[in-house]
Amino acid sequence: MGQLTYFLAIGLGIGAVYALAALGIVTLYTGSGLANFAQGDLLVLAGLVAVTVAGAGYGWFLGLLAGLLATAVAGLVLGLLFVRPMRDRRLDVDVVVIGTLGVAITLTQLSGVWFGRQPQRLSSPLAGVSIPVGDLRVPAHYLLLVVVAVLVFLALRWFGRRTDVGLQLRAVAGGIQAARDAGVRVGRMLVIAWVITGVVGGIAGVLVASVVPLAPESGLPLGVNGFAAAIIGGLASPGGAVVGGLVVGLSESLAGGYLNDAVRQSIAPLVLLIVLVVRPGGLLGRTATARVA
Amino acid sequence: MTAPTPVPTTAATAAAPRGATDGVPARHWRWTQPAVILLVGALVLLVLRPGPFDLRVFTLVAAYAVAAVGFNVLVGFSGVVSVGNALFLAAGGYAWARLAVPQGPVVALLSGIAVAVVLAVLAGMLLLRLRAYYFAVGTLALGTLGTIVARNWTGLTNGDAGITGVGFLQVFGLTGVTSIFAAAIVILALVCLLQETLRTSPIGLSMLVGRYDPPMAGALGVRVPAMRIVAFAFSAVTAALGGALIVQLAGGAFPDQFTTTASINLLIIPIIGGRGWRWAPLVGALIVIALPEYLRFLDDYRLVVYGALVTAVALFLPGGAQQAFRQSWSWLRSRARQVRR
Repeated sequence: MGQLTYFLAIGLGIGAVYALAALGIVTLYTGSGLANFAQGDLLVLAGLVAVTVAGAGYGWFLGLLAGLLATAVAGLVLGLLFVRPMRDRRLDVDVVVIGTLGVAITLTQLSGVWFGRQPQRLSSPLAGVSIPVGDLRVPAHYLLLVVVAVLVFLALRWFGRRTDVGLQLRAVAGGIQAARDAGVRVGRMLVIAWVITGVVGGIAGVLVASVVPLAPESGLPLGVNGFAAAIIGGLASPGGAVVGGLVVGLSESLAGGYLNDAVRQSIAPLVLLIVLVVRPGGLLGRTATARVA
Repeated sequence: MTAPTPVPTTAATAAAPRGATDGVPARHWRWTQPAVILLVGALVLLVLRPGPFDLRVFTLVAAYAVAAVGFNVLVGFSGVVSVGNALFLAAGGYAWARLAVPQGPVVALLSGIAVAVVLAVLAGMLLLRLRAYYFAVGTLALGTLGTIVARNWTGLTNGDAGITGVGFLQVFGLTGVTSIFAAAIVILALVCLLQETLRTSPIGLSMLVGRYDPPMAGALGVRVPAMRIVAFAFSAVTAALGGALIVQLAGGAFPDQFTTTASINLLIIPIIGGRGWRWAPLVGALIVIALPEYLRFLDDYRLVVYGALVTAVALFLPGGAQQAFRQSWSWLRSRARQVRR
């Protein structure tokens, strides 16, 4: 029994990481209609910057700030890059997929050149603190992960519903021309969406670096799991992203604990495929009806 | 520049006698491209006589071009984006590795194709009803699963150690990489012929219509979902062939050949070449496979440059190399006209 609780606690923590990765993807999707296949690499960039800064003796908090700054700048650059072709039309799916995959390749390789290709770990500010669960002890960092994921979710929800900029972002996602006619500065909104995505990815990256050692190549699997979480939730719903992340994290943790590592690796793609086949719109997504122009 | 020939009006075209091609542009030389490919391949082998490194690169380009032809049809004709086609590459590759030596090359190739098509039809029936991003992510998950299976089903794939001693396709009495190159060129010519045949066939036209306007295509009696599954299955066929060639060139089948990176390369090739263009697989494969090999002087930054290039093309040149060719061609023509004036 204690073992089950332990696996559940670990799964919640891992799930919170995926939820954070998914929240970044969902933010960009609801803010600009773009699916970002480079989100995992943004996480890795932030994590590695934080490891480097903290390793140079500046401490965890400055590492976190540096990581956030790095991904915010990356988001700004990507936003400026993606604005021009997007200003007037919605991009084709294949162009978006290829464009962001190219970003993913670039970021992976840049991280490899800058930080080396060895997996690196960031020591948590809560290192050594742990919560007793039965006769096992869960590191307190996992609790921190869950708390941060919930906070980021609430902040994004508030931002999207209660602030002027958030409403404008949602208008852009609904339709570029309509938003522009209503007076929204579309290009500016797209850049803002990318920067928020970068910051959310940065938070996730710095936090995950204390749980899983990060290497430049970890970006792709993290991105896939984040995407699994986002899609399970319905891609356009932040609440769905959190639910999806927890589903993926819990099933991964349980599969790894009771079965074997091969099953653990395949659980995220499996869950994703099952959800796609059974509920094509995601668990919390609306079933879309195509509009015939 | 030739003088502009009188263009027949639409009415005249419609009234033209129904020849071999129903309503399709009357002259579609589907034999030109295979002939050019065979000719260039022969020239490379007999005249250029590349060294061992260059020959390996060219062979890899040809193998990826073979695999990308189906992808060109999938992306360019029916507008479906898959990020999991390494699965079919793996099906062809492992079928070759397991069967080529005991059962002979024909059985190996055909069974690889059969496995890939069965997988594609099953996956297509389950996933192709999804909307665009959802399908792309679904295939990404499928490809990831394929890699995990290849790593862990040691009974079939021998895990990370891989299967070595796989033989190669012997053609024209050649040996070694030269023979694989020749075989890859012949197969490339064949699948390019198939591609052009498909383009002018009712199936290919249905795919094109279904891409531009699915509801309208449905109203015209095109079964869009079925056409998408056909395109997906065709992409599986050429991917299986390409996978078999890649395994022969590497001298063995290893899980690392069939990771998501391979899927991404396969996806990038037709788009960077210009999706739907008949030369896109070859031009794209030259850029995606050969260019990083010859960018080695950039050292660590080689793949950084490559990734940035991919993003730049996707964002600012969505028509890929074809668009670049077309634009520079029309620019040259307008320049020539100004000079003449």
